[in-house]
Amino acid sequence: MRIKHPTFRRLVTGLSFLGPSIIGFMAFTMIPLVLSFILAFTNWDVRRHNMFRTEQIEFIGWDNFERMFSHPAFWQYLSNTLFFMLGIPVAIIGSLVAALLLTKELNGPSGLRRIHFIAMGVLMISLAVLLFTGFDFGNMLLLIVLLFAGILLAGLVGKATVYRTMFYAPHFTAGVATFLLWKKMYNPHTGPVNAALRPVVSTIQDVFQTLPPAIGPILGVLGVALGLTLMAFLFRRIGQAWTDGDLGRGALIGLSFISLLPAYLGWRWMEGSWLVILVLLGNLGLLLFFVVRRSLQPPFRQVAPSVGFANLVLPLTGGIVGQLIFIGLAMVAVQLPAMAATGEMAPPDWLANFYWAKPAIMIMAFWAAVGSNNMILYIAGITNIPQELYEASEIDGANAWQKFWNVTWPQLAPVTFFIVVMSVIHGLQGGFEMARAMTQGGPAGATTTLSYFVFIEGFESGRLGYASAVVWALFAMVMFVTLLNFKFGNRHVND
Amino acid sequence: MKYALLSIFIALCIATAIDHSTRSNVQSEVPILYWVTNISSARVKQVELFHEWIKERGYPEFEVRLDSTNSDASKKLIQGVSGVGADIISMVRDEAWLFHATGMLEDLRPLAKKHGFTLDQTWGVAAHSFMVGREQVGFPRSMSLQTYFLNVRLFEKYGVPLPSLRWTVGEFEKTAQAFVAAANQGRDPRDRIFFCDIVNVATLRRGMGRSVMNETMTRCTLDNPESIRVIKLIHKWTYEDRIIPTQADLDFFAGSDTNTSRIQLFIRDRYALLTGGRYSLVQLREHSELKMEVRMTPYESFPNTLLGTGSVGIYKNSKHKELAAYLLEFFTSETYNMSVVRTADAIPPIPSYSSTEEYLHPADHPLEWQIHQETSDLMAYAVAPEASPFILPTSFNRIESEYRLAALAGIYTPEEGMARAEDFVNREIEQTISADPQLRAKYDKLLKQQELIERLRAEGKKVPAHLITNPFYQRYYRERGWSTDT
Amino acid sequence: MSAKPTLSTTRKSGMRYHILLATLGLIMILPFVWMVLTGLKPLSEVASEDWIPTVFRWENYQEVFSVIPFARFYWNSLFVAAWVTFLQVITSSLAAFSFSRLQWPGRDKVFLLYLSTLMLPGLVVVITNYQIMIQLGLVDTLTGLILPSAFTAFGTFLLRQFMLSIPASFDEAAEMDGASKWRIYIDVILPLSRPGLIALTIFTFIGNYQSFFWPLVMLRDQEKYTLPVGLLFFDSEVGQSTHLLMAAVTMSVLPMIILFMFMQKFLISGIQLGGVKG
Repeated sequence: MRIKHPTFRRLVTGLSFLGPSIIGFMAFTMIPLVLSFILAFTNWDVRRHNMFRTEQIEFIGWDNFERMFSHPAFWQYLSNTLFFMLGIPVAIIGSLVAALLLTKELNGPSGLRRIHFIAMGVLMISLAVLLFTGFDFGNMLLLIVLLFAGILLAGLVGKATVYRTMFYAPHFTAGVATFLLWKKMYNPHTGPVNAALRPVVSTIQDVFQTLPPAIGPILGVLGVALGLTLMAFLFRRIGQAWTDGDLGRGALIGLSFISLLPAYLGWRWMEGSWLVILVLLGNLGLLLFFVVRRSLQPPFRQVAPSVGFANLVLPLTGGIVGQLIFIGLAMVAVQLPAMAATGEMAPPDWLANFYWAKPAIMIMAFWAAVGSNNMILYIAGITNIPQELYEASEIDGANAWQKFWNVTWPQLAPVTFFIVVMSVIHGLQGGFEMARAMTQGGPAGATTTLSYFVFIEGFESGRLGYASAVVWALFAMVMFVTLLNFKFGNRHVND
Repeated sequence: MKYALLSIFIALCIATAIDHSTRSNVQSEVPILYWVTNISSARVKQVELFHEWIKERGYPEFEVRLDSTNSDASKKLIQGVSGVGADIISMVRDEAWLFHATGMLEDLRPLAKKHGFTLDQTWGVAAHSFMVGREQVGFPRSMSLQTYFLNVRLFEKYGVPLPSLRWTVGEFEKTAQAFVAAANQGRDPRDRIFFCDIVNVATLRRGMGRSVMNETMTRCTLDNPESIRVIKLIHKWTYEDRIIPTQADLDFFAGSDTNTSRIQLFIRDRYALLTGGRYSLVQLREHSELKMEVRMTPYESFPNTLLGTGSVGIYKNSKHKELAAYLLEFFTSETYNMSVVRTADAIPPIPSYSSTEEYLHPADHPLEWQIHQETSDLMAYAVAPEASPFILPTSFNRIESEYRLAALAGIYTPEEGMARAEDFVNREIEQTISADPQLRAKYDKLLKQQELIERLRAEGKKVPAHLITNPFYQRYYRERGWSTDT
Repeated sequence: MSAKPTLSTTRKSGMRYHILLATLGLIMILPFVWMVLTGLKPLSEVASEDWIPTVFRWENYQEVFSVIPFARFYWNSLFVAAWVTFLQVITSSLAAFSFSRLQWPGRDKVFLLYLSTLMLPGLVVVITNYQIMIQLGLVDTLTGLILPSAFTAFGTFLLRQFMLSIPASFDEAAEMDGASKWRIYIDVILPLSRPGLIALTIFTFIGNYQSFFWPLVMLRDQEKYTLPVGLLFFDSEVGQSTHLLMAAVTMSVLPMIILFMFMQKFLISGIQLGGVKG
């Protein structure tokens, strides 16, 4: 009896189906992968190792990696990449909010349906007529009203599908086309962004010229206070979690460390202004009051050290980004009286300005990310939540906010985890297309991310060995962060 | 299901056939050679003349096509080493050396002898742009001198006296300030008139006796008082005196005008001075009412002008090398040179044509005679741009401009910016030579020469000229009497 | 929802959400509105604060075609994307069948290999793929554009997920009728995987249509440019003609919108099953 025979036949069958795919896979994925890994340790440079010169490629061990870490601008590019990733929590929260809105049951207004439709129709026709006869002033306003009415009408008819299409469109069409669109929109003198901002800025200027200069610091303190309030909510939540026994000691310490990040970042990026000191003291104070004080008392029940970290780290990160935004606004506010006094306040140059280029790109990225695949995953997740959980919480007398926090959010944890992992992966390797299409990595390297750096090194200078090393280093970072995520972020693992 | 897939497959095959047959290189009968270069109307005309010229001479028939989409340095480089370079490659500045180092340029000496486009036929001062050591890898198609074009009428209109042909930095600043004050009196600040479009940083720095590289081009020299002063001057002129427009000003023009090239702005009286060379005349000629004169770029202690040379080389991997050589032969012909003279494209590669009547005194453009005469005079001060063989030109330019712009924008102080730039460039040089033993040997040799030069200078002795490889310092040392021709 | 509210509250809460969503939706599509309207303006009006052109200049669309070889770019993009999608779907479905329906030694290990490449940054293989293309003489060819993108592990992964959800009873029934594995594949599994196939088709087509890095690196001949590279080229050459650029951008975006409108259902189920890519 030939035992091997059926096994062999199955192997042949299996491989023959796999055949076309695996040949291509090997040729264009596996082999390049392995080659690229090997080449990262060589001195391969197309200017010297090409069809015209007969030099040999040599192994140089870790030299490429050493060189990369000692490259003076490497850290700038890394921090650019990380800065862009600050937008991730905001984008995820945005997707979640969008998903929540889109999963509400939308009713067409029942009784008045016909009247609504007719009224809308009449409104739209009259507006269209007005536009085409060339109403000189208020054209923009009419356009907005017309669009709004049109969308509302479509939404009443098509309900969620229509709105979902509109939310999803920015993400779906993202690519060079939309990057160029935004590049033109950001043009400081001809773009609609600044055109809309100019009257606003000039009003602000007028207002601030009449106010006493002391208003600046006052507004700054206000901004800081708002940021601190945000953190206060989060700290209270953390403290509460400890007391309820939902938080482990290790997690508590970890979260506390993270929460001091804004102060540190503010100090580094904004060069120790008095605002930052205020933020630091405020954060410390709040931390002490809400968290440390509570942690000195024993919790409701003992749990493993890392429990609950995942649950709170995302809101905390979101809160941190929020606080950073408030700090940024506060710093601007402090300078407003001085800027207004010069009489030459103008909206920023956006992509041409060293400080505004990254925020400009992040705004665009947020626009594309709200309605992204993340939103769709959340929609699926939300519709899968069993109604009984909501009903049970209503019996306990929960309001909308509590329902969200205690039912929706935990139920969405696996989806959130997946989204965070994928976002971080994409975030670390991203930024190339936007940089190439919009700013060429400028101004002065402000928008150069690590992936754009690879492009410059590899395809402009021909040092492909070095470029491969940078890519693999990037990949190692991605793997490391992903593993961290899996270890500390996966709620299921810890529960 | 399977029928759907099958029909899709057939449709795709048909599409492939259509795609293939509509490609233009399949539709032509004669060999097509691609010339990667910037496209201008003059260039297009030259190619037409070339096609006629081959017919006249009874040379084999073929077509030359211009390709400008791949004409930036890094694309030429990467495509060249990847085997897909164009047959005919334009080279500017130090690309000849760079491309040669990768091995992608054909050694043209045999073809040059056969077709007659050897070094002795053209300007000696341009040699480095197509000769690498003793090997010839190209032939110049034209050169140009960078100068300022001055709008005489604008000066007269605002009552500012015309400056002299060569002017110092101090004179430049005074004239500029006076002009800008007079011209902008009573004008809306958003409608400003500027004095000049840009000030060339390289000539300014050279005018102070300093180059970006040392005498043997082994080290970058940006961290010195002269370079810092250059940045401070440009900063002052841009932001305080407002004689040069900022990027924001340029964006503003971009919004309100249909064509915002510098030449157009000059024609529309936005600038009193325009940076350009003879090639600018091609466009300026269309506005014959402009009365213009030529001025040199301002200098502090050493008058100099920048000479740019465009050369053309042949790709080693080309299938049509013999045919490409005819184009280079064309550059030595009367047809080509006279066309350059007549269209004012630039300075013709064969020197004798630049002293012809037609060059100096074109019959149709009497207003230009002074320009041509002045340009000829300024040729005496011409110095080629310097670029070190130890660093990629693109890398060097990227680093230098990144830090210069950052220093101008106030992100770094000028001192800091220049120090960083120098450090960065020197690191790149280290990087480049450590990777290539041949280059390292050459570098070490030159470094020794550099030490020798510095020692001789310190002792006040004359330096043998052959030790200096930096074209700027070659001239500078000679003018100052610091070198001897041994 | 829970207890049935009264008629008036339903109406009120319904309208409130509609208004909120309509407002947000409007903000989301505002850039597109500007894009379309600017694409119809004459150049002189591009910078004006009024978004609506005084004259609707439909000639802009024509002009785009004469300023750059836009038709060629469009053709190249669609052609390449079509081939990549076709190859990807065919090879992936065969491979997914092998991984999900067939038993053979080492099957799961090989699948793990496939899986491990999913998380790779695309950059890792671009550099070496480029060198491979040089060796094969496929640089600056459309073939070279198509091949590396046609064989990724993602398609196999997605289709395997779909196929796993098809009950084995179908296979068994067919086998009892004496069908060979090939027959089972063609007549049973493939038709049943249709949703997955369509989802994969859409994903691959869009992903390739938008792809930008690989064509940028590979292409030299302007005649072979795909849309993203062509648009970039357009911007760098004639960047001042914002109105033409916007018309071109509108045309580039159109296939995506049309595709989405007709294929929404499949797209969404695909995302939910296979996770996120692109």
